[in-house]
Amino acid sequence: MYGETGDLLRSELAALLRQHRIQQRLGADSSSNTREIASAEARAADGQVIQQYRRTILNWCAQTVLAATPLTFSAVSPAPANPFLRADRDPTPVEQLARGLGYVQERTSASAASLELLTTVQENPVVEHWRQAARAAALAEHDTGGPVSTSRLTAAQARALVGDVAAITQALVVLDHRYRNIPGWVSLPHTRSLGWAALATALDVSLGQPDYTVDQTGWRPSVKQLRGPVKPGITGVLQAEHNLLVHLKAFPTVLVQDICKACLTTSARRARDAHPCRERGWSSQPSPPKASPRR
Amino acid sequence: MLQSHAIALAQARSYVAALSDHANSHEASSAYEQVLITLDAVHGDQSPGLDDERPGPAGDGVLPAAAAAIKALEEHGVDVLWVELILAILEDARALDAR
Repeated sequence: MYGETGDLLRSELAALLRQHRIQQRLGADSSSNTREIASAEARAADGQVIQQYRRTILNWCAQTVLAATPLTFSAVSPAPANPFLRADRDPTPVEQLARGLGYVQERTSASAASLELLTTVQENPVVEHWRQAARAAALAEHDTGGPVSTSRLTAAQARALVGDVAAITQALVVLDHRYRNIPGWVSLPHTRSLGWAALATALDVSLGQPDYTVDQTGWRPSVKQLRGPVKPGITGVLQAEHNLLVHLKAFPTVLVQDICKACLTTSARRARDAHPCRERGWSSQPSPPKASPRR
Repeated sequence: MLQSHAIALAQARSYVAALSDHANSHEASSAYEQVLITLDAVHGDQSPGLDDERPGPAGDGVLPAAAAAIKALEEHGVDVLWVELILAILEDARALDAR
């Protein structure tokens, strides 16, 4: 679901923002306690890997905001049109952000992280945080990427999604500024305008009513039956109910007919137990009280 | 908004506004105001107003107090990424002010 991948992406970027003095943290693994700065080659190698992870996150941001833009409406009222000028509508903050992310995506030379890079655990803690963030962004592409996924969203849900993209874009801009002294680091182009577009988008989203039930959307793993022997007690009842639900969601088979027959039989039996008076011939009227003898 | 959240937000905005008023340059003052704008973006239209009549606090302890007040917003449900972003923008404003 998008809630899981989005939360992982935001928490990893927050962990990266907490880390300052980045030159002392790169080029060493987690077992190294020294505060000395590693060699330029080691820091450059880590920098190249980080840029590939950053590209993966940027791809998700650009793809998501582009797909969600048609569903969003600006909460800021447009300025009155000048009758002496051509009536061109100013781009909304979301459109400006989409345009900025598209520009950055075209001008960034680093390629997206490969599957091997996304699945290989990194020894350096900083690089590992970037890997987790890029992995979350790659998984979030299944939840929010493309017009097929976003066509099921409401306007309020799309607004919440765009708000997340704005926050993540601002985080990337701040981290890009913090990492600029790494050997071989290629900064994002036009970061100031991208940062302001992200802030304007966040303001526009906050003035509206974003719907955070977008966290419930996205890909979910298929539910499987609980196989194995029937468990005793209430656990067995829960196991049976779970397997029944899985069967009911699947294509109907003869098993559904057997289940309906069992439901009818059980209902008839319970109905007899609910009215014991009729079965045993008792009267429904209360019996008159017995007269007490005179003394 | 709960009262404790409103108090934490009002403290954060007051300290940052005081930093902006006593900044050494216009650029630093604008950078501190960007922190205020980001705080308002996170809280929508629910931000409490600032008192213009009384002067804000001054001194070396204002910046740590502002950072602590912003960090305290995390306990009131503000997203952790936004809290770290605001602290990063505050740090950049401090670096600009120290030049």
